[in-house]
Amino acid sequence: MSEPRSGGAYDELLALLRGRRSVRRFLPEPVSEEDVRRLLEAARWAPSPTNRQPWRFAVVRETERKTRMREAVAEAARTAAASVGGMVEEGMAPYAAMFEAFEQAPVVVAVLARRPSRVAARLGAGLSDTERAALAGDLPAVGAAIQSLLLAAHALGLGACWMSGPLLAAPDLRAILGGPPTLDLVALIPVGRPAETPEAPPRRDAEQLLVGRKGTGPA
Amino acid sequence: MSDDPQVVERVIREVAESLGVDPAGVSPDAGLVLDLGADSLDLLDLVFRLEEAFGIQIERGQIEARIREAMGGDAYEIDGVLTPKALELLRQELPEVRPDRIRDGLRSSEVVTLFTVRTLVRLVERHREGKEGQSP
Ligand SMILES: Cc1cc2nc3c(=O)[nH]c(=O)nc-3n(C[C@H](O)[C@H](O)[C@H](O)COP(=O)(O)O)c2cc1C
Repeated sequence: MSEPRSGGAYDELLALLRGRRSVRRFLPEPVSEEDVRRLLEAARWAPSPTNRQPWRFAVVRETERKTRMREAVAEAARTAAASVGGMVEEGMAPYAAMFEAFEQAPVVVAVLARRPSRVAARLGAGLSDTERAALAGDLPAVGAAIQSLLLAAHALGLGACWMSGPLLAAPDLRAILGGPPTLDLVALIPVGRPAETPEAPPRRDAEQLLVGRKGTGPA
Repeated sequence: MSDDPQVVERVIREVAESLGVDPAGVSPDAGLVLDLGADSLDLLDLVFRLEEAFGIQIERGQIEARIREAMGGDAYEIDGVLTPKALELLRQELPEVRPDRIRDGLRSSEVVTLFTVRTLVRLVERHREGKEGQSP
């Protein structure tokens, strides 16, 4: 594989990509309306299938609502763990706190998505669940928007964390968030001035990520 | 014939699901494209959703076909623009659409943009009648 081409813009981008961390502890300092707008501005330029722009956002600042959301997640995590029981219940325990960290952030951006088109479901009837979701493309596109939002936060000196764990309580969270009941919740993203600078969790080498037949010509 | 409230409710639910809007905010008289912002792929999605929800098969261009038949040999469109007689028949065919939206200069390709939630309800009801008629 050839070396990634370096140069001004690429180096700057890579520094942002590598420097972004999942931040789970925040200073109480508020996040300005202007900064929240900057995050959404970055998110809305993500690619999406047929330019559907399936992402929607709900911004939560009130302590009272954040607490209700955290309580709903804690309760749902307890119920879910108890219902599976045994090893899974024990194994989940250390993660419980990771589902609830959003409460302490000054702002929580909830990311919601339009339901995927039935057209893709019909055309992709013979595919795996993941491939069908990938063919529809809404969820991957929302993921791209989330990454843009996270990078924008990092570039603004803010910390943020993509959290899917809280979805255990998705029905309750959607009710607390408001908005059309026909949108699905995809993630909660706490945002604030970081109160921690986490080490970068290791990544696999690019070489290890390559699969499939080697070679350039036809097999 | 008045619309079956269960069909209306289900169609509203499918429209809301497809477009990601609140069903409480979807009126039966809302234009799918002009009021709710659906694009052509959304309309295709809606057709698929209704097919699945009601176990029917919806073919393209039925409304146009019925109007063409009623034209009695007169022109339906000229250079893609509906003739006055075609507009008149379209108003009869789509009584649920606000008449001012069926305006002079309407192109045949734009007819679909006039459809309302109730247009879909009537489409579903016609197909269900057809199906019931066929079954023993
Ligand atoms: C889809 C997704 C869901 C995640 N859910 C959670 C979560 O619920 N709680 C949490 O603390 N971190 C969550 N994370 C953050 C990951 O733990 C984190 O990205 C990973 O450990 C790599 O660390 P880094 O983001 O600092 O590079 C999630 C990340 C992604 C992409």
